[in-house]
Amino acid sequence: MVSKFRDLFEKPVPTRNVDVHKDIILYLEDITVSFDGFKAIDSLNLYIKKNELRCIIGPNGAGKTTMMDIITGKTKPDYGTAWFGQNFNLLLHSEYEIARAGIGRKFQKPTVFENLTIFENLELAMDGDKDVFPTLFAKISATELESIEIVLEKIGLTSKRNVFAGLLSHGQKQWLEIGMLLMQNAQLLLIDEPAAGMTHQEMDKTTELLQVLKQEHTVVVVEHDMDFVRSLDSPVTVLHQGSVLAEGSMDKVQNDTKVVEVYLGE
Amino acid sequence: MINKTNFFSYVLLLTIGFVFSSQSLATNGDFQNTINQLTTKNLKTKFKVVEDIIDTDNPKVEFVLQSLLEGKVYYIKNNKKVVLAIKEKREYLVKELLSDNSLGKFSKHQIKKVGINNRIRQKIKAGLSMLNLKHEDEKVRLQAVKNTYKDINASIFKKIEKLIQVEDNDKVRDAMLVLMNIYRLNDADPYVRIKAINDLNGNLEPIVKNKLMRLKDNDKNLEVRIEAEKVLNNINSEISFFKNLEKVFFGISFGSVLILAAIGLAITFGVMGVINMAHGELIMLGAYTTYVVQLLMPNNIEMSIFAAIPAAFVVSGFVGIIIQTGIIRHLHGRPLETLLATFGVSLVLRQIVRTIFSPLNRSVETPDWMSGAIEINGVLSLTWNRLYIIVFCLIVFAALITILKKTSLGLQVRAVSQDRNMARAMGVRSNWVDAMTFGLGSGIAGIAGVALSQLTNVGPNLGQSYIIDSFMVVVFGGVGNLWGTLIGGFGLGVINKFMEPWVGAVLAKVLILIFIILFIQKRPRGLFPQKGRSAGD
Amino acid sequence: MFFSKILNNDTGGRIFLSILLIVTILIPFLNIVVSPESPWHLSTYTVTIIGKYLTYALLAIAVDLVWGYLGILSLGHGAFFALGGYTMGMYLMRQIGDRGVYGNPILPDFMVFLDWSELPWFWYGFDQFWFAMIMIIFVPGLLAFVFGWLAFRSRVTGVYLSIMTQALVYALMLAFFRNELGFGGNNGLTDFKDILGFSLQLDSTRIGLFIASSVALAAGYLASRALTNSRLGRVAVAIRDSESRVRFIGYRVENVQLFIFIFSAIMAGIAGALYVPQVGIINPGEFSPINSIEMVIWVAIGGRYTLYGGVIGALLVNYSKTFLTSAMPEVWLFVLGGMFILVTIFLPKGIVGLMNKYRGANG
Repeated sequence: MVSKFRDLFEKPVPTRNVDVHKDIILYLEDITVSFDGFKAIDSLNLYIKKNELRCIIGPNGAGKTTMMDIITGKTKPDYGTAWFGQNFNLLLHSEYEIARAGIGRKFQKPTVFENLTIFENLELAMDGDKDVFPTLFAKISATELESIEIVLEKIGLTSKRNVFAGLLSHGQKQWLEIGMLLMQNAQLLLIDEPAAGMTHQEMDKTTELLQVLKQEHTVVVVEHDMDFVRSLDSPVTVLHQGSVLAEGSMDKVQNDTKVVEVYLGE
Repeated sequence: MINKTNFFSYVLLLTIGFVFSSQSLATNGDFQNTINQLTTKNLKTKFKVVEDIIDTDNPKVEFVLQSLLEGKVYYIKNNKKVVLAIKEKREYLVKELLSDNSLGKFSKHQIKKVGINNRIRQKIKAGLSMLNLKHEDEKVRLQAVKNTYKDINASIFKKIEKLIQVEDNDKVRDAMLVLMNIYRLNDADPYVRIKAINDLNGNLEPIVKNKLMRLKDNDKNLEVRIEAEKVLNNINSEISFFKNLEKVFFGISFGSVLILAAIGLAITFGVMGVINMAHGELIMLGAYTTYVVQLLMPNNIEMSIFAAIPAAFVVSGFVGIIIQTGIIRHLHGRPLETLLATFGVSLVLRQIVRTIFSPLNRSVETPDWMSGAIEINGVLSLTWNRLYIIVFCLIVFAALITILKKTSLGLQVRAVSQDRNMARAMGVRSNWVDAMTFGLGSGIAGIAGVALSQLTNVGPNLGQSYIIDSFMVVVFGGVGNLWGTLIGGFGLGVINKFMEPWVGAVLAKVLILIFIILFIQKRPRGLFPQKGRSAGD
Repeated sequence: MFFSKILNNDTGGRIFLSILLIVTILIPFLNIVVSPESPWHLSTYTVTIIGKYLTYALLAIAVDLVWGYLGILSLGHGAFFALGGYTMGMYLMRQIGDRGVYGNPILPDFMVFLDWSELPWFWYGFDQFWFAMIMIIFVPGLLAFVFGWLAFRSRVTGVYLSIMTQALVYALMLAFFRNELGFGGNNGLTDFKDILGFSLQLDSTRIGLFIASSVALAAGYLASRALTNSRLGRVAVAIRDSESRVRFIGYRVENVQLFIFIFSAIMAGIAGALYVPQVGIINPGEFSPINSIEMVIWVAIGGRYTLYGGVIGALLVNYSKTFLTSAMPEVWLFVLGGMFILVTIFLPKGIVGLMNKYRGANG
């Protein structure tokens, strides 16, 4: 009750105070969630190590997006625990708090801000004090400008910085979103279907980008496209009907009998 | 003028009068003489004349009294004879009061009306009641007995004492007992009073309650006062029980109107996601359709409702389809713009109605089979019009559910509302389905208007009173869920009616509004939200 | 100059403010300096009408701010306008003092008429101008805070929110019609004598109020423009277009909405406060739901997401209304309804959008 009252006056949320000294950055244990009788997630256990690039695959309805929703605070599970680092309980925080704590998410459908320029999109995502008054009086500093330039380069959209995001191609929008994740300085990047709708060249570029990202961040990629997943050459977790079916390298997982049964010739 | 013949008649009359106790038997001639004294201008005298008429023993007394009440009694200026006059165009057809003989046509200058004041009117009513105590229809007898409760004296008491012994109808007999007990409340003997009080226990007539209250406060005898208080408390608690039942009835009735108004909205808003601010006007058009139907069949008001229902459905449905195809279709996916555009439609529709009909209210008649009420007891009576509307609402609801669940149109509607593109891929003509759905929702709004025309004034702003309530019901009950609308409607109706006596209609509305805003906090999707994740989440 | 920085990319804004400046100088000139016989003379009555329109223009900016930039279609902004008006009205009533019909130095006429012996507690302090000024900001702000907090926290948005705002203003209207509430019932507050010691009947006072309205309009525009130019303004646009996405970037969306909503409500309240001394009366009719919907049409016709578009719309629609309701009264509602329908279907960007398209097409 008291904390709700303090909430009104914007108690500063501990960002970047997440304790990740132990190796594991994301713990999901025994997560279960049902929607109107349908069990979307069923006793899910998932552990992601720092600086990992993990791929989550699985057929439609396996619960991949729901899992992301839970991690980012959009959905609360009926049962189970979810921790970011050692001390940040994901289930007790809302979306914006989790974002400030260092988890960034790129959505299946690119959701950039169409009526703002690329520069402005990145500016908004930029890490900093995101409370109302600081945002109102924010003046962009030279360092901040530079960080935006750096990211613009990384995603290859420097020349288009003043173009409205709504005018970008599908692939470019995806990169812009990844760029926004970078601006957020997120420690943990959740990337939902980055390869969707991309040309082969764009896909190669994305693979490169993700490999680079892995060096300073932890990346979890949800994907459908098996070739793309293979090209990432990273550990894979297979989800099926809301729980983990198999885990390991792409080869190991592909030869797992249970997985073969489920995918049947995928 | 007493001459020999008259003298002889009077002696004969007196003799017969003694034999036949209180009432004086009179021939038509003498009765007419008495009646002719109504020409007097002095109201006190007139009052006495009326009393005399009441006491006259003549089969025509009732007719005379009734005619007086109805203002049909006049006198001819020439000869001061009091007669019956019925207006026909600019003249009057005059007949004798005591026989059916026609005296011809008179102009309005030749006759003058016999006027009565309220005191006389009350006397006539009481007199008629007394006469009706012997009427052959038991309903008339019962009413006559009840009419006399306020005004009992010793002679009436004696009369009832006699009549009760020959009365064969239970209800009438009970009412007569009550009457006698009311009289006994004033008896000199306290034990008689106490017994009467106890016998009256459980009677919910207001006059009984008033008399008991007076006894409780003013009676000289302590035991009587205590007894009166005891019985009074019992009666009061029974009264409040029935009053609460009445509130529930009103709540359900109001709820049924809300449901009828909201259910069309539940379809267009809930199923199609379209905000139609002109929904209230579609209801209003249905009410006006009823008015027009009644204009077209003035001699057949009884059937008018049955004709109005399909007519209103077609009219409002048609207008709805025009709105959908002409305007809403072009604003698909832009709910705020749809809201504004349909608000414009609402303004235009209201102005059209004002221009065609008039800005003033129109009167819509209630057919006889819908008037009247079931009287449960002195406190609770259920009016027929409300009962019919409750039943009507349930029928409409059932029909709608059947359409949506069992027909192919319903299937297509549900498909389009859940996944438009998928439905189209399967060959559903989504534009046609949209038009039909909107037409269905609007048609039902029209039917709601027919029901409303029986309960309230029909004017161009009729829709405005119900639009906000309709949205509240839909939002409260859960968007997209018809059962939610049903329960939400009844719920809100009952809550509203229970709050009204405490805080007044206005504040009740305000509080319910606040309640819904807070309720949405806890359950943003309403009581019974649509299942599953919506695609745009 | 601070102002020029705000108006950096805002050609439309610069044009608007320049016109406003000219008007503000010209109108009093045409009233005071030009003699009454000249056809160029503007009567004080006309000055007041224009002043009234200026307050409507400020109100339109408030509506555009939350609608065009934040995506909240408020159909209840009339509530804030009216509350600001009532607050000013209360001060003006207290200023009447013993010059009212009943001559009571403390109690306004309507209270004497209702047989009240004491001033209700919420009228205390309104004899002081500074207190009234604070209340003009505080009261609409408070309502916006409470309503906004409840609504935004439970993530009520879109159409639901709009309906709620209509219901809110409807409820207020019903409440203010009651005599017991202590605001004059259905007669409202009227018969004002003076403001800050200046008689309201004097030409000079009316011109003063006119200029004040103009200054308020300019200030409101500049403040709103500064807001929309700031990063917070961009966050608002982002919220308008993809509300949930903004949460995932780390912004507390409810607070942004609440802040801008309150800001807009206060502007509307100030507009109302300047409106009332010029029209001389405030009554519960100002709360009527249709007024709040009309304001939205001003912005829709003028062009939302521009700020000055609402000004154009406000002037255009109100002028048409004044003209039509006296010349052909039955036609006005058809015109208004028609405007709603046609503008939403054919002119989604309003008149300003049309002008831009025209300019764009011509290079």
